[in-house]
Amino acid sequence: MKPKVFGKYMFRGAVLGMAVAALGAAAWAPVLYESQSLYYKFGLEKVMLQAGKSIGWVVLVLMVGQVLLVARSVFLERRIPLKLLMSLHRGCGTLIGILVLVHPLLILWADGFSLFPLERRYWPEFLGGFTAVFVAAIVAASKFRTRLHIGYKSWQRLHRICTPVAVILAFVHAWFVSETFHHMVPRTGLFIAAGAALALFAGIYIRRHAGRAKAGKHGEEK
Amino acid sequence: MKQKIVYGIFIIAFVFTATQAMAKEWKLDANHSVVQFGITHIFSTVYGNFSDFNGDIRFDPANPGAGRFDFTVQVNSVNTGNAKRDNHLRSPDFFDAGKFPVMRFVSSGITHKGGKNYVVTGEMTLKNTTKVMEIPFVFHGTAPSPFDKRTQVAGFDTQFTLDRLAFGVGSGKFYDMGVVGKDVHVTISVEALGDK
Repeated sequence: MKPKVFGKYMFRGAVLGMAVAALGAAAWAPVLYESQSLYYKFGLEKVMLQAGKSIGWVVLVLMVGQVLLVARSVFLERRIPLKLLMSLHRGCGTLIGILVLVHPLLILWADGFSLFPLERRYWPEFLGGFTAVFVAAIVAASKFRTRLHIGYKSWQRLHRICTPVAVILAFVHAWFVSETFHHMVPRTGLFIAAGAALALFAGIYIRRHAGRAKAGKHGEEK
Repeated sequence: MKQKIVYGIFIIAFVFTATQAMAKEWKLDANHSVVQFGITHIFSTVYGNFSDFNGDIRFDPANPGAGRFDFTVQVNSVNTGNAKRDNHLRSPDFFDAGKFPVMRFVSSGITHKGGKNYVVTGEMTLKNTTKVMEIPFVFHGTAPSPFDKRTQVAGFDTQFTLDRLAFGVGSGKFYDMGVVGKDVHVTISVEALGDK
């Protein structure tokens, strides 16, 4: 194996390792930093509530990962082919679409499916419900775009508007719904993840804007 | 003709005795009434209330035996100041509000115990358990409303203790752990409005 190829695989291995570590940390955060709601659950109910919370955390990390995959980072694209990045983005998106629906199901199941009454104080839960449906709709529109007769350009425009909104809503929901963030470490983790997502979105927007401006300038020169 | 007069007298007598036997009807003023409770949690007492309740009140201090109380409380309206705890209280672990959305008390008799003190006997239904309870209460009397002279205001107060486990509110798991007590201290304060 050539040293250059070996380095590429080493890099991919390191990226995979970091992703697994980030997802593992996210999954373990609600276990390590238990919120009081878990104190009152036992047996299968506790397992379901804990799993539901862990899945919620994992979804947040996956969302940040999704933005990273489409950030068109030169550094990343030199080491991982664009085709593979896009394929990962699609696979990750499908996984997110499934997990956002499993997350509330497990949490509601743990409480015997007792639904929240329409009171203002339950807004973080309702926001979470809306976000889950919103994310699932984004994933469904992407997955079944042709079957839904959505043109590529229209889908792309919608996708570029909806995904940052979905990520922001997911972070707002997580911050206000969970007591785990009363602890320093998970709170810091959430801020870093939210900051990274925002920075990546800003980077994508700036690059896209600069690209358009450049294309416009070339057009004028011609 | 004679027959008609007899029927007429009979109807007048019936209506007269019926209105005499019926106690005065009061309309519960939910804005100035509360259904509160307190229950121990390890050492502290957690207080809460139900914001959605209603009641039919027929009460005349001169004739308490003819009185009737029929209260319903919507379990979903439980509020202890902690949204997550309230949802847990609504779950099958406690009230199971999906299956049993209301708790109800229907009186079967009221007796005067002297002064302002009375005791109402009736059936308390919580979840799928009905038990006969005797609940003491204070009738503060009536007064013309300072805001509307045509309206009379009546005041009632009661405090009693209820064994939640006897009604199946919780399996006893949290009680055995020493976390949540079984005796619920209930305080109900009611203002009711009636015509003068």
